[in-house]
Amino acid sequence: MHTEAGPKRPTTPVQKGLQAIPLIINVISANFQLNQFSSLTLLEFALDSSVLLLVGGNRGRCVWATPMNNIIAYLFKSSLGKKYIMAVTGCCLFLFVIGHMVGNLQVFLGPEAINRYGHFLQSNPELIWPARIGLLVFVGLHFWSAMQITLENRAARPVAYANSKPVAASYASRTMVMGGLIVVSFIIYHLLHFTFQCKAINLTGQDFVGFTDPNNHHDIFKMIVVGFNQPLVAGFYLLSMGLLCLHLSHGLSSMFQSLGWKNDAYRPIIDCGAKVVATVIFIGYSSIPVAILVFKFGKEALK
Amino acid sequence: MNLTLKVWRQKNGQTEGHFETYPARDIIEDMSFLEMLDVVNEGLISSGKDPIAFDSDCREGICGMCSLVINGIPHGGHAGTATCQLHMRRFKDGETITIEPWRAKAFPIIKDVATNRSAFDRIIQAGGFVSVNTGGTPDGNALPISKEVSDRAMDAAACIGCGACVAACKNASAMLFVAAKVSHLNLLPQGEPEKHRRALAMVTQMDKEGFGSCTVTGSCEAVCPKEIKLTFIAKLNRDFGVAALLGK
Repeated sequence: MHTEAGPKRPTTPVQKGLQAIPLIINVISANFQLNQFSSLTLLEFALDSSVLLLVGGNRGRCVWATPMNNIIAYLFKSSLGKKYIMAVTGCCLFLFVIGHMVGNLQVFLGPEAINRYGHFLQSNPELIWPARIGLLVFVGLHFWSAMQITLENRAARPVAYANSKPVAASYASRTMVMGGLIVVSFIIYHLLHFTFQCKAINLTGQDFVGFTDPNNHHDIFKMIVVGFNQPLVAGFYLLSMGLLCLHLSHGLSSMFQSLGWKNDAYRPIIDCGAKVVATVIFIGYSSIPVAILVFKFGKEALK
Repeated sequence: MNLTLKVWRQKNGQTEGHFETYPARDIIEDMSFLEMLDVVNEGLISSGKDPIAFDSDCREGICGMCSLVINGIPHGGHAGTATCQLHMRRFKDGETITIEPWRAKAFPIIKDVATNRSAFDRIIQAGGFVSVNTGGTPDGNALPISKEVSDRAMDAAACIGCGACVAACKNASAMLFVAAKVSHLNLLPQGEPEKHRRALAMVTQMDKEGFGSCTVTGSCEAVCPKEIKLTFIAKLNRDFGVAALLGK
């Protein structure tokens, strides 16, 4: 006969709650002992407590009180879990980069097309705000996991080599953090420039907010042409797109590696494909400032 | 041939280390790198100095004891070659050679260029057991394994645990080692029953030892004396992810 039966199933929510208290204390003390009490632990703690309150700990033993045995802990605490977060958020951000590029390239279809597209986005807050909040969360998680991994990696080699040369490691793979940080600074500038249309930083002296087209929509075409006619702004844009291309040429193939979707048959295709896609993205984005600044595209909008 | 050696000397794990320069005279081209160090050490001993402490055992490239970062590259940078199999003909007469230990927080220095690699043993221990039937000798063909799977498992099993992957990685990550060890057993039917537990436990121990994480630079694969493939790390990422998802 099975003798190790769990405690009797509680009958009321109050009893459930009372039974959960020692287990919750167990969770807190386990985390304190591990000296890992952080904001993440609080998240886990909230999850643990809710589960304990729901099940009332009636399984006979407290499975949840042991650290590192649930998916949240593996995801946020293990080195591999942080790489999964990096890969998945990176993938979502990559899809945005593609979508944004296709949207932007409509500038070559003339003022009417891009202004209509801009008006469509602006007039659908139900679409644009979830997308914006999602992007912010993805950037936040991507940044958080990158910082965590970088700090751990620095700590893993306290004494540097006197004579060290990178073996087989590409330039892109060694500059992921620095390149990423410069791209983040670009994103902040880019948002202030075209999204918030902050007059002080566009270096043209014109206020983009006042640009309207004959349909009384915001004149995005004119904003882009005026904005990129400033060589410093266009230069920073091109530099950032170059760094983004470098970041993606390594990141896109690493994404497959980190999620375990790579084997020797697919490896050359993925590695080469990442470089090709990154180059296409670079050309796609750079074509706009280059066309405006070098080939005087849309110069009639400047008048 | 005559060479100049710049060797890392460190009395023990508690003291600071420094480089010292020694001449290596009358070295024969057919000597291995370790034999060259033996000659230098004999000279040091006969002049009453402390010999250079370095690890070695089988000296035929299969035990994983020899280490040494030679001119900035673990095992000297020749494909599929451990330091013991590196011959002096690979160097030029009059060359200055820098010799450093594996540098990682998880591999503390014992003395000079000898490091403590017990962290790897603890990762192996964390992997636990493999289910094996006791009793009579099993029939040779009782466990069907395809040639491809057995070859792949053998490719992973070729890892000698020298730690060059950690030494070469800019993050001092042990992922290639752990990937090889996990894959070797996870691929075979004998190791299959414990595969989820093994992946979770070995990665958890790896993190606990203070190794960095993989940023897919590929340096480990390039220096590995057994040429373990980087795609084994992808397999480990998959095995660990599946195990965590299943809540094993």
